[in-house]
Amino acid sequence: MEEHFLKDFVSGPPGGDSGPWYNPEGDCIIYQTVDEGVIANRIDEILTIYTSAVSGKDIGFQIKGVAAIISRFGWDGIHVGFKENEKELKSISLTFLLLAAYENGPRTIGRRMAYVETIDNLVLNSPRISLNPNEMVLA
Amino acid sequence: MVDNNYMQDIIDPNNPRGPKVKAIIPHWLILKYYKFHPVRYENLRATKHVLENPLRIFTGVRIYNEGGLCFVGRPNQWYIREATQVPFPQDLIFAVYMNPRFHVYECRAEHAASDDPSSPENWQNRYGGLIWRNTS
Repeated sequence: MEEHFLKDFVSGPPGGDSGPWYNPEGDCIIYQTVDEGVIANRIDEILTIYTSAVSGKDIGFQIKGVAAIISRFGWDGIHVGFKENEKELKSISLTFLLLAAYENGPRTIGRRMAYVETIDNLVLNSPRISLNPNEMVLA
Repeated sequence: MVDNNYMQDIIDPNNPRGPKVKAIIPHWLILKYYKFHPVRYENLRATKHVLENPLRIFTGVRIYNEGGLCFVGRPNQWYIREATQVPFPQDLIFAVYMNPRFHVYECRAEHAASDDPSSPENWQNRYGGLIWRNTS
């Protein structure tokens, strides 16, 4: 295997399960249940589903425009708890986030199916994510 | 360990014939991929290839976030498992997404468009515009 061009940027052994995580550079939440190559299937402006290039099964998703969704509904309407760990974090229900995103677009059968399948197959195993309001740019 | 972002020279989307500009693969993203998504970490090789050899560059990638860029290309190989490298399929493209500060935040395969195999499907409707295409 050819040496990785980023080998000097990393150290230690890889491993572990990150669960869903917020990407502040892209203002998106990413969740992937299996570490395989993914083919992205864009459902709409908010939801993209990751399909495994190995099995063809859906193994993750990306929720985009998270700050905009939170701005629209407000933290009070979307967070389900607090977690204190030096800085304040707000615990967000991914199901709530997806329902809020769904409300924002056309109510087509295809869209509805994609959102339901994402919630049924992927979100219910890891239903919450902790976000730090200070690292988000809210409108 | 180098505790810096990785910088990659890319075509300046605002001035494609001018000097190159720097794209940034954030150090935290490199570590995140390395630690939790080793296949994504390996596919940063494909990301580098696409940034160096884009076939298409799109702007306006988000409905709620201003700007943003998508560099699209086709690497020769990609990883589908940590130790499994295979030829990159002809019916896919590899897309690298950057925010307006040229920070990479997402890189992945997508289905190629039937009317332009070098673009992602539905490219006409999902981006703000095609700002550069490789004509060589």
